[in-house]
Amino acid sequence: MLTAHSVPWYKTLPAGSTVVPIIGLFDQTHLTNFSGDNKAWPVYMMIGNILSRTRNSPAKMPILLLALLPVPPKFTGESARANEAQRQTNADTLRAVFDLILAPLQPVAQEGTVMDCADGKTRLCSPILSAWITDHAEHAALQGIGSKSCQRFEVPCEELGGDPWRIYETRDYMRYREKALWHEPAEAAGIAE
Amino acid sequence: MGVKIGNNLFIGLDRVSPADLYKPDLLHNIYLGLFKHMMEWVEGFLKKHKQQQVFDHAWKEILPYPRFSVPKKAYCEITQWQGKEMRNLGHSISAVLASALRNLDSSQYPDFKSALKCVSTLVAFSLMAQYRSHTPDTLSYMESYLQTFHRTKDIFLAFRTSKATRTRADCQDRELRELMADQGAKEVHHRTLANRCRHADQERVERSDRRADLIRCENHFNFIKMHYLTHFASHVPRFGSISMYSTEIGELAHKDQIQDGYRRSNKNDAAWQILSQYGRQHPLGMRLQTIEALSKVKGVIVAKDSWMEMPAFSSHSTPRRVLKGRMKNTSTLTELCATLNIHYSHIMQEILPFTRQTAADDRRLPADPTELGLLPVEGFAQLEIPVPDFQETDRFQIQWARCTGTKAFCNGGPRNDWVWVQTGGEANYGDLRGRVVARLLALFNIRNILSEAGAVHRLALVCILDPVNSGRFHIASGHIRVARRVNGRDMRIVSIGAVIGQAQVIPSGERQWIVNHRIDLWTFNEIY
Repeated sequence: MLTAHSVPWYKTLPAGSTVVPIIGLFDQTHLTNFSGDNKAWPVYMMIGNILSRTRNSPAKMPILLLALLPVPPKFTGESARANEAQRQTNADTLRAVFDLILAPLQPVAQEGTVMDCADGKTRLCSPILSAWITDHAEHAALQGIGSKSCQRFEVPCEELGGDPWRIYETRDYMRYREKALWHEPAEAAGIAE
Repeated sequence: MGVKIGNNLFIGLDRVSPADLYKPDLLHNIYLGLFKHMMEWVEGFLKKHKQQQVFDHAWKEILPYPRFSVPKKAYCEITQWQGKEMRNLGHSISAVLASALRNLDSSQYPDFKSALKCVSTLVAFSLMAQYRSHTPDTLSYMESYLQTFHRTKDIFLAFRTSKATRTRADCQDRELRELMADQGAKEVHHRTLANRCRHADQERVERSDRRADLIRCENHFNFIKMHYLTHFASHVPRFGSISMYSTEIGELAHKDQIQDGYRRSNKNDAAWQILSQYGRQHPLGMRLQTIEALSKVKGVIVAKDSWMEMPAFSSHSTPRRVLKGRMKNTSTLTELCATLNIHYSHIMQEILPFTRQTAADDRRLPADPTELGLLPVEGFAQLEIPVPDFQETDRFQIQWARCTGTKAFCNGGPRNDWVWVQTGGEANYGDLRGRVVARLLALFNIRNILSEAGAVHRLALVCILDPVNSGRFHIASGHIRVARRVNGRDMRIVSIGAVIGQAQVIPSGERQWIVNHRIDLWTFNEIY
């Protein structure tokens, strides 16, 4: 999805346009104990322009169901290699599904689109993904980081519980990606930042 | 660190910075995460100091409070915790712990102090994180709480032994024992029995020392939930309050959108049916809400281009305190006293000074005891107190303070709740700022039929507790303590307007209580 004409996040929008911050939610839920533990992986979406009190009340229906992700089968545990293959398939599927989900955002975030607003006016809106609310384990799966690492900063493992007022470098996921493109695939898999 | 390069799903999206997508998560990170860890540490700590029984006892004694479910079991009997229960636990843990650890001897005193400090600061941090609006001051408080937490957390380091460390310690233990047994076998023939015993003791001490050393080296606090606390305070200036981005909302949505849909599906090809089910529900729900909103708004001006104008926001008036639950056989003061099992002379002794304090107009109650005894009275069992919602101006939370006298409440014992009573100015009673903790003994109204105005006085008879150490925080326990008056009269008649809210106190020894000021945001903000 990395394209040559990508606009970095800090570039300003055209004057007079409205930002529509999109908040994504992603959480696993348990459906039934029967028929082999059915689960669902819904992805929800809401927008940040709604007042937070309204947004946080379920009766006002602010949350839209965006997609139900395919639930991967359980690990068979037969062999480490089968598990590894399964894990790879899971990651690839997740990636493909998310490309599909986020694809409509790509052109409109860049150019903006004219939308009807609740007060009857029409505005040039730029929907931009700005928050993703899930718990840590699912964040780690989506952002492709280890389960013991912080999403925001590069923090060494031994200092996670330590003095909080040290300045760390903010994670630059773009740089990781570029590094990965430079390396051979086999080598890239082994690199841990 | 560990980054699986190129796997980030948000990379390459325009104007999106993947590092900023993360939002602090109160539910999983604090309630279900750190509070749970903290309870393990506290359990270990109590075990070390042999105070589990006292803690369990104090835990069972917690009194009811609005939005707080009273634990029905002892702490050790509970096997599974929900998010809400964990939050309840967090709000009362520091006071319960302070109560449980009150009578330790002087050698345990420093440990006790820093453990309590650590627990209290974490709870205070979590309470601050729930604020709906922040100022630079509150943020700096949050940061200082976090620093104090990090400074004092080492007291619990001994109880953070992971399974792997324990296995390694066991393994080392076994090896050492074998080694020593080998050595002992070589020298055994020229030893007396007493000598052998002494030798075995020495070996045992050495083994336990080595084990303690290994555990001390291996234990650490380096887990991710600990680190995320650092992002809480810095998140607020950039993105707004933390409670806005709660994960709870997503879990609530499962019920309406997924689980109901699954229930209605034929369970065979459920995904499609779930998706289309909510697709039907949502437009209908939105339409209903639009109709409701339109019908509420009066005088809507619908202009040509369907432009809607909302009317000016009407200011809400403060709801009044209401007495409810009229009691039978309480038509005069004598009968009220008989029903509630209070001595008649006590109530008379209190009501006369109260009368003298009120303004001398025709609303005033008569000062003559015989006349007072004739006035009609109604006794009540419940007082509705509207308490302004924290950091809100027009929303109120209703607290129901019960006062059932000697009668049982809901198959339990009688309930005579603890309340805050405003008595003096801000300067009185130290950190309590003019408030005292009191127990409701009777709620009644009295009608002055002798005067023309026929004014109704709504009064409460309360039993007042004196703050220990003139209301300053007790340094060792970090809480304010209150005690029953040893001599002198402790009952007082107050107008129900002076009752400002319910209080939570936790018994701590003979005639003493600990004020739990971390029970909710309102109390926490008023007393700190």
